[in-house]
Amino acid sequence: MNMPLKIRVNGTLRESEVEPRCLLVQFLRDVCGLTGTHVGCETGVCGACTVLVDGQAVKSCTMFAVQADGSEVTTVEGLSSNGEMHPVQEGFWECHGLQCGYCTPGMIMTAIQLLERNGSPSRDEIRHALDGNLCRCTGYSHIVDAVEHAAKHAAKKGQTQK
Amino acid sequence: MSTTIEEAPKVEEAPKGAKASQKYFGRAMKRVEDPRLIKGIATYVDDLKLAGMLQAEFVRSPHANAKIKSIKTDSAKKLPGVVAIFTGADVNDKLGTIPCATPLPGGKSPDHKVLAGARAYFVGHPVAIVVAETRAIARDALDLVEVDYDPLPAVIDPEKALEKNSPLTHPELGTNIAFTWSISGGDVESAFKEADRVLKIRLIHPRLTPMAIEPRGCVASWHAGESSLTLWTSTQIPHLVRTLLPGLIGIPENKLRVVAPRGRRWIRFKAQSVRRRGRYQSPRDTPQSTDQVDRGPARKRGSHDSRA
Repeated sequence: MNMPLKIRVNGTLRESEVEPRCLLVQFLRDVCGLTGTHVGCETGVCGACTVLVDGQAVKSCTMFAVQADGSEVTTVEGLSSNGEMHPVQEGFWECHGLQCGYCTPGMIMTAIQLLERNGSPSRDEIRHALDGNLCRCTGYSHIVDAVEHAAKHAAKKGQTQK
Repeated sequence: MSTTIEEAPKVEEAPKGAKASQKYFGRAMKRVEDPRLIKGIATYVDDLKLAGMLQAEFVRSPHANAKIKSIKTDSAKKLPGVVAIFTGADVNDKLGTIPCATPLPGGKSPDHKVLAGARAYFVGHPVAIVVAETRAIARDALDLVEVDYDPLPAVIDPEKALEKNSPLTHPELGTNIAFTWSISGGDVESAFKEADRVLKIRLIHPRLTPMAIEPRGCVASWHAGESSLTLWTSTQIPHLVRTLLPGLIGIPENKLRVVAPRGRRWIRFKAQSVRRRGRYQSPRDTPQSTDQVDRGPARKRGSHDSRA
């Protein structure tokens, strides 16, 4: 039996009825059509599906859509404003923090949570914050560079939040 | 959806007096394709949605070697939303064999069919394909397919596989040795004799399983009017897929179009054509059992250093 839910996704209210077992990531991808959030493992290991739920980084394959009822969700598609990339997105582009890009949206969402909590993290703190996100292309160094770059530039702009 | 020209990275001014070639050399360049990946608006295989698209899921063997006594699909077929279920008996005679992409000198290779027939010979061997309206229904149906296995002794150690009494992975080949490849050059014996020291090491190459973060997947669309197939697949080698696949599925190469969207994946797998559109994306644990065994970094096991 389907259950009703209301979730505000990237500022837009989405009302729908889904199966109780529908995962939040499936709701975002299949119901909202937001395919920037990727499914890598469906077991909470890889972090490719990370989104922000009420500001907290959550692996959206470990949460049922109905558990997010009434929440505000931000996905990677909700980060750019007026065509301008978020400082963390700029950092990934500037520092070559990606190759295939499959893990990138999850990396970016996790990095945003880190920078909201700690505006000038050390490289060790960045590594620790990202240890739930797997990348199979880059070897991680460039991803750490990207987040470091974002922290510096966001501080300059006085903007760590979206 | 695509990168606009405004998003292309700007190239800095070359230093004064620099030659034209130095505009690009010796400096870090931003990638043109990055913005769409970073913004989450690139299209990977799993992002494709075609009208009327069905979902495929596989029943796989939990045994490394087992006789398949029976496969019961009746209750799975009754599940609303299940469109078709295929077993080896349904499709293997109609399809070719999966070719080895890299033929080796004197290499022995069994006729790998798309699905296991009377025997499953590796963990993860596909035994049946379930095609359903949604991925959830297809996965529900997997649990309703009943396969009766009779487990047999399995070959799990490459060195023990060479012993006389070892079970054979492919009895029809009469041996577990796939190929013997010798490489020689120079006067090796004299070189050893003349050497001040001779070092003996035992090198073991472990199994390597490529596991990109984007799971293997493909979307296939059958165009009845043209008798042609379009296959979107997460691959780095679309041309080789187009060369090898026609012999397997029995259509001419010019009737197959292979599209590699975003991503950088290998594929060793073919979507069952149900004369409609279908998709398959492998679960994360599947490649460990089904992906190709490749070379890995050599590990040294013990060493022996002796004076010549």
